[in-house]
Amino acid sequence: MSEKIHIPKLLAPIRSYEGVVRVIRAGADEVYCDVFPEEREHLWMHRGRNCAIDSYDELDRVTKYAHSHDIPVILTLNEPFFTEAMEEEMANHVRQCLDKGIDAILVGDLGVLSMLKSMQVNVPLYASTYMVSMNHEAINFLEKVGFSRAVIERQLSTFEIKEIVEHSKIDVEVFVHGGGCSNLNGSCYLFHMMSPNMRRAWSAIDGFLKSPCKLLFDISEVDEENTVEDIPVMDASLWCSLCKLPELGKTGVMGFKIAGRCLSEEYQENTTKIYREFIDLITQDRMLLFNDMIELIKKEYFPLPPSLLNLQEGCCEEKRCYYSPLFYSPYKNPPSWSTWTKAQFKWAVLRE
Amino acid sequence: MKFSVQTDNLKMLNEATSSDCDKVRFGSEFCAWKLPSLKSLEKAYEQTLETEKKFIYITPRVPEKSLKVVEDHLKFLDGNGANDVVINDWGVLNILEKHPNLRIQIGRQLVYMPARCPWSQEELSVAFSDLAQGQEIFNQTNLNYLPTIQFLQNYNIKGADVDWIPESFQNFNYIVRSGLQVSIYLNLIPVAITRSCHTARYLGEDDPENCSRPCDTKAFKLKQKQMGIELYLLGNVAYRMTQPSQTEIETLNKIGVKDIVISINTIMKTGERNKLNALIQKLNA
Repeated sequence: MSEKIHIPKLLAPIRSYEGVVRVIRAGADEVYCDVFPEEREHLWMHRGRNCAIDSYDELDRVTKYAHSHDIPVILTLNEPFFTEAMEEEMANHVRQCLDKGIDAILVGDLGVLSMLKSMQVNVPLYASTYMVSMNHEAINFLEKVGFSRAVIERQLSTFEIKEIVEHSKIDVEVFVHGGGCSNLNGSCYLFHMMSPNMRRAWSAIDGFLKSPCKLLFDISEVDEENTVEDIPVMDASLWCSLCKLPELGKTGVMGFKIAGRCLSEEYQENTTKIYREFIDLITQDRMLLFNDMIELIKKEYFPLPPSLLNLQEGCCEEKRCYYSPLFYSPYKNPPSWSTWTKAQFKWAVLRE
Repeated sequence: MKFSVQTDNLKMLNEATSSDCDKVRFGSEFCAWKLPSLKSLEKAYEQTLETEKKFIYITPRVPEKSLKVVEDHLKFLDGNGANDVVINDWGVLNILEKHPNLRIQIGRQLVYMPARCPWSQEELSVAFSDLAQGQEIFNQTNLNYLPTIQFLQNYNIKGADVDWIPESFQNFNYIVRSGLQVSIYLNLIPVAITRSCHTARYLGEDDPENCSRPCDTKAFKLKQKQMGIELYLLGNVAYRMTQPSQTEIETLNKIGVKDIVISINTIMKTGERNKLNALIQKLNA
């Protein structure tokens, strides 16, 4: 290779003890999780209980297992919102998690940061995508206020990522797989609340990704009569960056992060395993094999939840690559015959 | 009550400066590709001061490439005295450390208000085990925490922008009492903001650098049938709409919110001085 590729750490999502065991076996370098025990009441707006470890005892098992393999556990506290009314409960929650040995905290709000600093927590603090960092001045601001790592915005190009990393004083992490948001996380209020109406709206969406920014809208120009029906105008999708790993490695980021705290342990394990294999091929400079494997994996089963679609049909055909051109609009392209068939006859596929 | 009129368009500036407003906000609030050139900023600044209105420069979230443009704008404003700047990016706040004379206000993208969510009570009730308590927190902002306000004040921030959500008004009082000036936007509440512009994609624009700026003339109504909601799409932002009432204006006055921002846009059809004046008159009545 002509240009040196920095090999970032692979960060995997977990939501259970089973998950931590599986992703560490699959090759994760770090794991991240939320904890949502029965007694924790405070508001959730983006994710619910099934996306988190469900007790402090379970967290204790998770950290012990992870530490026995020298793997750090990052606690996510990354809602972009925090008020006085939430302070006492949040402080207790943090104390409990620190007692169980978490190694770092991911923060999405300056109020939470202030609270953690006043508590004098003795673990590193990382800035979440909710801080919407898309330039090096923002990263350097985060460094100044006490963060030692930042997860940057998804809606960037690899060129922009490289520029940001080159001028930043702290480590930068990027998402590489999963997620689906088409709006900036820190500026989106389309909360994932599973009400009966939301269920009905989601049932009208074809494909595997169900999310508010995948909802179908009837669109008309303001003051015009003509309406175009059922357009997923916000165009959310699952994203992949397997092919882009070498390019992303060259940007100098320190972490490749897989999204999917709300998904099954099987998904968490399989995704981690595949990314580990491809990162290792880059580390070993086996790029010919890397390219062959990419072609192979596109056609094989890949855990795109919760369907049985493979990567080719799920991401590649629609060119759903992370850090792609910003105005690309695959929702206007007709789906392939096989994707359409699977979407229409999902019940038959799932029954097999 | 003071009134600010906001525009990102030099062509519309004349309507703003010749209206009965007290202040003019110039610049792009949401889209970095609509950042004005330095020349446009200088022209807007001069034109506004000629009409003896206060000039406020507003900036969006800023990608790496546009940092230099914003930096030049801030240098220009700093060189012309103690001007006001509204920021929507922590990176811009970092640059502003070099310009202590400028008065900083944080924009709507740095003030988190869950109540911007367009879902109905029925949907929200799913999230709260105790609806009343949940609702109370839901209607607050991320500035309803004193350490956050103190943190911002340490960085020389003097004010904050919020949206016209009557259920949240009482919570604005806390912000005012804590020493930040609050400006409130009329009508359009941003519910989802993207950099990967929904309008551009829908209309087939494929290069942000050469975007034809359809958002200067076109806006769209979005209806979601199953959820029973109606949104508006203007450029890279989806909004929900509220209409102010006289009682609400009185409430705002009582709690110390004394600055109303009216955006010039194609949804509210606020692009003519007569309409702006009629609106200001109605709100002042």
